[in-house]
Amino acid sequence: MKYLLDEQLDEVVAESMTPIGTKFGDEFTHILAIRDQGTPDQEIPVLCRNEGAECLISANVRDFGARKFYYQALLTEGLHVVVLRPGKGKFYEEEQLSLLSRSYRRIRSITATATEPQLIACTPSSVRDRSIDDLIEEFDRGRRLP
Amino acid sequence: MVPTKGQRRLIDLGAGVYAVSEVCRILQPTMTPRKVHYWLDTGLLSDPVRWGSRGHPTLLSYRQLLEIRTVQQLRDELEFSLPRVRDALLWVLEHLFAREWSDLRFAKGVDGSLVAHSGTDQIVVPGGQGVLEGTLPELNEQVAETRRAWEEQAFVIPGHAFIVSNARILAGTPTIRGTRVDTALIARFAETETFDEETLDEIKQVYPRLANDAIAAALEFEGIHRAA
Repeated sequence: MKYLLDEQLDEVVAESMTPIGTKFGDEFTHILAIRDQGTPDQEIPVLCRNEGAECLISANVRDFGARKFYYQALLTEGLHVVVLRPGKGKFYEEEQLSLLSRSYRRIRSITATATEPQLIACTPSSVRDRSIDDLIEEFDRGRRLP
Repeated sequence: MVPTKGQRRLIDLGAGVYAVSEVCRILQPTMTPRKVHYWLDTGLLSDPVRWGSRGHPTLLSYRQLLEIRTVQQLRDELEFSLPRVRDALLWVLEHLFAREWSDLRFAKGVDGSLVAHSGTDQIVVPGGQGVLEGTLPELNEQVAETRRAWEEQAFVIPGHAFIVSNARILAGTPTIRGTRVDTALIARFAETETFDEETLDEIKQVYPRLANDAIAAALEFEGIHRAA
């Protein structure tokens, strides 16, 4: 599988993951290796398709909040989305690499068995996946009853 | 994996979506969740993307972010009582976000009243007699800025020139202009409520393409200020 790393992550992380991924036939490419800064959201799925990437790796240090509906939109485009969620402290490249490499086998396992795109949240202590339907259910539960 | 067929998309890619707290963060320091909910509940704003319930926040669109900004500006600049000018505000919002844009401007009428014009359409703003003519150019510039932000789908956050809420990038999360780097991520590199050159250098190591001024602006937006 080919993974595309988003701009929130250091370019070094893609380079460092490459030798690890090669063992499994995976590739890691950083978005800035192929595009300038500021790629609009709508172009991300197109970019992934052009690059043969099936999974976007991103980072988010705040509550998922509204952002998960953006992730859901990416899922409906056929992409898996991995979101690195660090613990407290600075999110240096080595922390980014550490969190991604520790979660990598689990990410592989989830994506290998998934029949539909998954949102995979990686924290220092867990890797949790949610499907499009899970996110729709979370959204619908927020609707005010008539 | 191919795009899924028939599965509901909650928002479109390229459409901004915001929790109320995020809107208040963007329109700091005077905007509060209470005001936003009041304006929503009284029908001053268009319907949200989703009404909230316990544990599930109300979600707002990019248009609503700009609607709130406009109401905030008109209220602050003109010091109007909202119930009194409600119809005029609804008129302004309708014309401000109309597909066909006709320059929307405020001007004084011959009798001293305050009139909003858009193309051949106009409305008198109740209680506008007391508004000083000198405040109108700034108000009109603010309205024009909001329209630009609507057309460009990117809103430069007031007081933070390098920081935008771009509906097309991370669904409107505040980011450094021209990038997909959100300000919250940058703020992680500050250990205290102040930063110095060393902090900027550290962040530059992770994000070498960012300018120091842009990094500083992101930190300032997140409430982390340059050490004296």
